Amino acid sequence: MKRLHLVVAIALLPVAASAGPEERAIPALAVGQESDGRALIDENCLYCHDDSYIRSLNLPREEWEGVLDMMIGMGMPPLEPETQEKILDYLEEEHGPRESSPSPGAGTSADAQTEDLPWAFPRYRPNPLYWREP
Amino acid sequence: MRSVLPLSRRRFLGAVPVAAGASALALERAAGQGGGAVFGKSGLRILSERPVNAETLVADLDPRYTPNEKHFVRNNGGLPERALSGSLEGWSLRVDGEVGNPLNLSLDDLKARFENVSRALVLECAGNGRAAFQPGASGNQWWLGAVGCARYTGVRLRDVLNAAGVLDTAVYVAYYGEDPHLSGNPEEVPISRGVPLSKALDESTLLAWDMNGEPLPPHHGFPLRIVAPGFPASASGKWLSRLWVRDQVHDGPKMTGYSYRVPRYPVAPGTDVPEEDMEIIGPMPVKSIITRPETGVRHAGGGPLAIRGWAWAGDGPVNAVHLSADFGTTWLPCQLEEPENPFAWQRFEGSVAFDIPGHYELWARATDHQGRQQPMVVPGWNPRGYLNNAMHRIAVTAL
Ligand code: HEC
Repeated sequence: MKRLHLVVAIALLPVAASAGPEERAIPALAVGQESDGRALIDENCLYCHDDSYIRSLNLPREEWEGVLDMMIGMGMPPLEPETQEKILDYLEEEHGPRESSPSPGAGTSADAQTEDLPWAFPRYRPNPLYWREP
Repeated sequence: MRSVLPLSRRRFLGAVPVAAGASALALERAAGQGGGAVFGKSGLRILSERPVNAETLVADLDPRYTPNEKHFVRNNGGLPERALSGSLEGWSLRVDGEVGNPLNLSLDDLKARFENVSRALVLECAGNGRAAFQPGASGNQWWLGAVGCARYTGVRLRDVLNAAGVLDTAVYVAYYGEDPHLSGNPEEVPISRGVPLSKALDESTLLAWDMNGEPLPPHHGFPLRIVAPGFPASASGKWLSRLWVRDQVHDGPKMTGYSYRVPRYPVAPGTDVPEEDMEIIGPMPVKSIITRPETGVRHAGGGPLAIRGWAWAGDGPVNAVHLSADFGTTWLPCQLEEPENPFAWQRFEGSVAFDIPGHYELWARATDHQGRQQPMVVPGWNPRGYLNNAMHRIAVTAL
């Protein structure tokens, strides 16, 4: 439920800001595509493994594309281009990079500086300290 | 204990509502739908159910020999039928390739023809600690628990290879197992790795049929597996059916590309490393883990806090373990036992006194036989997130 709600909100926002009410049909389509994406994952991915690998990842689209290529190496028949695009849309939307797991410096002013001074913001971190196991 | 395993296997088979003759993969799928249970296991952190990947919680690594039901599992395909039925019918081990005298051995042949040995051996997944890499890597998000030390009984791989008469052309020993590919396609092999000949001939590399006094449990490779301690555990093939002695580095599934490989040279995090610059991982680096107390402990009474855990390294013994309670400013040496045999993990024990109540971190740092120490930070970023041997640290509140 929560996911659906989010998708609708994201789809609606730009439309509401930029277009008249007659274009309200678009969000419905977007929602359709989203659940399509999930169904395509069920159909094309989950006969081999469960979705834990997918759920545990947050990747940019290019890297998801790399994962799909890798799956061909694992015995997945190549996807129809249209199917692949829909799956990538879904993965990008639902499992794209997350604010909650930023790469170091991401989203801060330090991020911009990293470009010029990569050595000033080392990417190496300690093993995480946690109070309870995840 | 011996009679318990087949019995519980039967009970398991009976409990699953699928038609007789269904594949073990189907059974496993049905079992997986039960909501997070893995057959023969309890209290693990389950990363995926199909294939089964599950790690041990740190506190459960405290016993000297990791119990079978707690030992981590890293499967690449499904469970073979045989692992669940416990049947040896039609099973044999073939040894062929660059050998003068190819062998076909039953389990009884193995037990009778070669000296039987028992060893405590550490197996660690090369991706243990992957979850801490930044940027992250795909694959199982292991934290700390893809490691264990069990007591295996079997024969030396060396003795079997000698009986087969390894030719001068041999360089690598590859394995094939009975585990079905996830797709169910019998043409596909989920994983087929191996070890360089020198590792295969190491006196600690075993073909084992027994783990902690029981026949190998289903998820650990019944009836026979390789145990090549010190190398990534993926080199220790399970459900073994064939050893192929090769005149080249083996090129089976998960030997090539980016699997179990790291860049030849240090790379900046996130680098797109060309495939030809990746090299196969050999021995695993020195590492340790604090098993008592658990992180988050509240230590009352003002006396010293006893700390203990295990230390191991992939190519020889650990020489020292130190603890720090002040972010590495000062280090206290621990007592460290000699390994029970090569590639067994070693108990370290220490105690730390806290003069002032407050919040502390305890860090453990092992040093191997060549003076190499565990790094404080997650070392050497690599595309698939292997070889994180950063120090383990726990939180302590001194009351
Ligand atoms: C023919 C079987 C098959 C199909 C179909 C398949 N996969 Fe996989 N997938 C595998 C295997 C085998 C692995 C490796 C499992 C392992 O190492 O534990 C894997 C691993 C993964 C991983 C983890 C990557 C890593 O680095 O180990 C991801 C993510 C993934 N699959 C996503 C997908 C997606 C998305 C699809 C559908 C578009 C898909 N898979 C379809 C067989 C398949």
